[in-house]
Amino acid sequence: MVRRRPFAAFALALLVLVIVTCVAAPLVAPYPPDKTNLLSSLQGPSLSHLAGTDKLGRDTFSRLLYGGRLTLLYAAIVSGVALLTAVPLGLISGYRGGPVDRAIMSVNDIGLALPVLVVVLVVLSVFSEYLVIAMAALGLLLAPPMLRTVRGAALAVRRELFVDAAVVAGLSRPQIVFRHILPRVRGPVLVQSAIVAALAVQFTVGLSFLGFVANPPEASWGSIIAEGAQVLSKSSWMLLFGGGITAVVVLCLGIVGDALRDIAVGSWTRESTAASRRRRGRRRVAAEPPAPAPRPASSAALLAVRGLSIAFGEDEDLLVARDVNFTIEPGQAVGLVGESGCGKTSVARSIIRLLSGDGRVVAGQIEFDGRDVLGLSGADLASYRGGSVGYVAQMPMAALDPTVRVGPQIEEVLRAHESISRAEARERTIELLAKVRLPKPAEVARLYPHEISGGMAQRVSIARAVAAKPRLLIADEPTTALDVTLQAAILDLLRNLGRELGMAILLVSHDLGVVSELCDRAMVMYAGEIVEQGPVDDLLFAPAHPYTEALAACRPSSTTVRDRPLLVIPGQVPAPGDWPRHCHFADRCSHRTEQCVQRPVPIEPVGKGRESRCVYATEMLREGTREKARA
Amino acid sequence: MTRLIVRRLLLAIPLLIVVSMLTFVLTAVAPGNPAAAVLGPEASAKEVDALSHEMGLDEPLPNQYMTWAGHAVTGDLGESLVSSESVGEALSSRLPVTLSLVIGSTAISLLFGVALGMFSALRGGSVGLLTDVLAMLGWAIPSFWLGLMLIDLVAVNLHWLPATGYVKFGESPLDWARSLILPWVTLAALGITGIAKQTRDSMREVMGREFIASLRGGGVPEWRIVLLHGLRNAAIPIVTVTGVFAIAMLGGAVLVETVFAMPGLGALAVTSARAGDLTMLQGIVVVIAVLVVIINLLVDISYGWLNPKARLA
Amino acid sequence: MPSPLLEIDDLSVDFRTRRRTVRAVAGLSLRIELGETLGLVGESGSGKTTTGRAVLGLTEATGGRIVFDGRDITHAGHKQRRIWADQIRAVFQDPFASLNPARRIADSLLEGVTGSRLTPADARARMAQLLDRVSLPAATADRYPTALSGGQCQRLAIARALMSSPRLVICDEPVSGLDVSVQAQVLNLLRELQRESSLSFLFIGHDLDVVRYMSDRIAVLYRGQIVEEGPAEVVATRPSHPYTQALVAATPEIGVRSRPHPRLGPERLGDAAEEATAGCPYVERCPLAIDVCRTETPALRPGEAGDRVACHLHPEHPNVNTNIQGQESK
Repeated sequence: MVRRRPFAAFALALLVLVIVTCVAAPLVAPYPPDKTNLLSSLQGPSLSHLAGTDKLGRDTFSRLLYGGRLTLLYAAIVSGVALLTAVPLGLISGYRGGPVDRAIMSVNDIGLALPVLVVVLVVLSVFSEYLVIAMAALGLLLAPPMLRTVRGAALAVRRELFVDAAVVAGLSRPQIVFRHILPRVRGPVLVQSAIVAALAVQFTVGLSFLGFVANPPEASWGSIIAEGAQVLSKSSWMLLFGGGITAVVVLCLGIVGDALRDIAVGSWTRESTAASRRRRGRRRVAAEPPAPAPRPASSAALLAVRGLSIAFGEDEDLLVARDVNFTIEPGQAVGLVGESGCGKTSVARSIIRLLSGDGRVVAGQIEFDGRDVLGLSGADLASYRGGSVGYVAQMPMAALDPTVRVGPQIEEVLRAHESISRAEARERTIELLAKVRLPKPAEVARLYPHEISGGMAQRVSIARAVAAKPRLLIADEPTTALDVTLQAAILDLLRNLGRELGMAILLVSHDLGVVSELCDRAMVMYAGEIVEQGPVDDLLFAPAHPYTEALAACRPSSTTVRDRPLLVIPGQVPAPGDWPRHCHFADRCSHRTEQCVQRPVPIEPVGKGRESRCVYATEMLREGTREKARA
Repeated sequence: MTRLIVRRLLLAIPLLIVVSMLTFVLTAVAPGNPAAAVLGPEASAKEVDALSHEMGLDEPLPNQYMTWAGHAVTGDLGESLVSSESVGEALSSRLPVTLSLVIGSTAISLLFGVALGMFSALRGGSVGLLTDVLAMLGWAIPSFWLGLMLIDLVAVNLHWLPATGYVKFGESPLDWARSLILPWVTLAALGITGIAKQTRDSMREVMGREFIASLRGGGVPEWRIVLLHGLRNAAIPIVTVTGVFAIAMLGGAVLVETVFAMPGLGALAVTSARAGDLTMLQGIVVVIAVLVVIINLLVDISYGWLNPKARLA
Repeated sequence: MPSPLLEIDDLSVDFRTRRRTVRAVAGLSLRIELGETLGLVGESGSGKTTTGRAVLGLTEATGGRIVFDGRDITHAGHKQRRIWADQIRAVFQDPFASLNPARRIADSLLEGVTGSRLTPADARARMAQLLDRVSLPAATADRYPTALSGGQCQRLAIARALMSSPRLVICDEPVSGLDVSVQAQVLNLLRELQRESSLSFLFIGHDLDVVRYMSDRIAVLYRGQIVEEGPAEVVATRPSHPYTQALVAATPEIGVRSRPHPRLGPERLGDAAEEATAGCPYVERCPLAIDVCRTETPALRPGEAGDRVACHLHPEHPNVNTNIQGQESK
């Protein structure tokens, strides 16, 4: 912790120092707190009086120490009461749920609404002789927000799947609470404790400023500030030191609290590979040998991607896609297939310049209709997006603004590309909604996204994406989040729209079957590279790369014989940053030879309109034909 | 939407009842006699008895409460035990002061907080770090101490603004504002930084969501995306936090009014507490509880306006 | 005939929110014999996961009975369930969420034999044996779940489920959250386990092909009710119920393009789940619906191919072209 969070460690040390010094005031203070010396009143800091003196000549530093003792003692009482109330009740409330939870929360809600200082003042005035009771009351009043947080944490854990698994395994309730719930709740409790402690100090000092805590000549930090206020015109030192020490203590508690929160969360989140790599030490992926000269695109190509490489990460280049080359002709439906992490989504999003966060193109060109896409900006970029290329995202609901009705979201896109009136935009929107086969389009336009189903939301998304009549539509896994019966309908819709509007489609998917339904050509990506591309039927029935072959064969289909085991691809996909410097698939490939692991394999043409990144592509094709001839 | 408001108002009733019962219950539980506390140690037993009877302390507790409640509902909150002035009048003369203070500082916090937060979210980098540091400082520095330091600097040394006191709006709007500037800054210090941090965090989270990317993908201009879609969706947590700070400021007013010698409810609470003036305190507590209810109601109404799903609830 | 290992009789599960009651499962009946795998297929909102959770006791049944090995376990409390907890185990959909990331894998695995009489040494031996069985290195036990991949974690979950030598394992979409190239590893493992032991499985999924590969018999769920049930081959390749036929037709088949996809009625405005109404649950989207479909809920009746179908038109209605033997491609 010290290594990674120097601030917090320092704050903690400072905190401990202050507490220990104040508690040991009788041993440490240079003067007794009430020793007056009218000759040296209101002096500034000096060697004999580190913090100066007050009106009566008493040493401020000593008074700060003794005052700290009193202040911190009461603050501790306040914190203790708050913690003892909030933690057990919050745990019970969150874990048990039901009527117990409801009862505790109703009382807690009332507590949340009470004005803390005013109520404490009432208690103080009634129990004027018994300060401890007022402090306890303050503790109770500070408990409700913490109770709510603890309850939330307990509730969240209770819903976790591993708690279900523990129940199934036959663990008793106490065992579940101790092994699974408490460790998870420990973090928020610690964080909240720091916050409550800080608030306790603040309120105690405030009350003592008002004169309710220390009885003169006793000192407390608040009373020192009050005295300082009285002599403001003559000397500001008391004010400075009294408030300063309070602020420092509260600040340290806050910093420690923040650090605790980071630590607590870190212990149970799964870091992305990229993030964990960053932690283990920066490793720059050295530039791989230059890609072969990009092939000139056919002049009629609608979209030409050449030598595209994409990387993520703020300072380093973690490549997620390397040397991607393909073209899309007007009106053509092309598939981009691969598993999660292969880079297909990054490639798709880079075409429409929607790479998220710290992703960026580090090499290559993208040309749409001959124009450079990567250099677009401002109004040109805005008109390109939506007007030349449309985009449909994977999660239908997430792609719509939940606070705006469906109709206006499409109208907005229409009016961003054409100067039409609101009324006309409304009409065109309803036409679009009808075109994507939504029933009662005029009614749907007036609904909010949460009022329609997932399938309908996806149609709305598609309507919005084609509103400005783009010539290329990028559909990024448009059916993955939908049921299979809806999937068929959406693919059908895309096919028809493409035909009607003369629109090319780039369909990104992990499912070769889905791609084969819609597309004429496809590219297969593996670990950031295109490993094969060509006509879809060729890819499926005469693959020229072992990965393509495996991809098609490893899923059960309706004809798979039950008693034969499925084709397994051993191992797993190498993550970005872990790519070998040779064929990325070699480590899992059953046809691997020495040749495959010596150097990176370039993608080469093999057959008509086909390319493959396998050294043995031609052999595979020959064998394939031989097998067919035999059958 | 009306259902939402009615429900919130109905929920407020138990709150008000609990809050108003507070003093009675505490008095019953406390040792000693409130009448004796008011009159001081020199009072004779007869005087104490007389005052006790007048205060109704010899009645059983529920009766005491019902009597008070019955009067309160009609607007009669009793008389101060110390000065015999009508509690209602005292409160109504001081309410505008506290309201000016709290509403003003909330408005300032919201305005500057959101602006700072948006700037920090969209530009990022060092401004974000600065926001974090300021938020931490604003949270750690005691408000009344900040007030005193400001008085020292601005009023005493620089003579730019009055150090203490309050001028009624009716008398001179300019002086009213001048007398409130330092108190506003003091109270708002915590609010601005807290709201800025929440704004920044919310905006960052919302701007990373898929629908923002989809809108960009449709070619919608960036300013529309940030303001009409980004801020709209980020607004709910911001409103929540503003409500929390507004309530905290009601409490903070106690200290700030004392420091700046303003004749508001907070300062009155302190003096009443010192004097043991329970009737007055009772009135103050109830008024503040009503203000809290109003704040929560405003927050709920904003939710309804911002979040279509909530309107159906 | 020996009595079935698991018998569910007229199960219904309701979820009550403030505004309305949603019936997730309605009048569901099925049985699983010893050593048999029953596949439960359905789309989202069909009630398949709820059924699995009801058997495990994670969701409370509103009506009906669940009988395991002759014992009525429908409304058993937490304490009671622990008695047979070693006999019914589960593998869940999200491999990472089902393992506590803050605990060592060994601890999570050993949790699987908490209630048993195994000595600690025996338990650790069994753990090593199972890790080997699922093809994970023995050193895995000392690591944390975050260090593993999805496929490895799921195999681990299977190992944990087997720790107590259960008789019934509920698999709730065990491969849906995995990459395609990894799914085969897990499916093969499950198939092997099926064959080498007399384990029974309730295999829940939404992909008909995967469920067919894994199951002896299949039950198809739609909106909380079983609409068709029978031998896996029959249901998956020659189904009689219009919904199953739609499901089969919609499942993408490699090489088959632009086949006539099922004519489905328009999607409902608004969210899926609604209160239980009379009539066939599929009536809104069924292209063959007739009047009686709206008023009477069809019962499961024996069909011709050895399965049971809940449809008023059965066995008279025409078989929409769904015979998929892979011959009609391109």
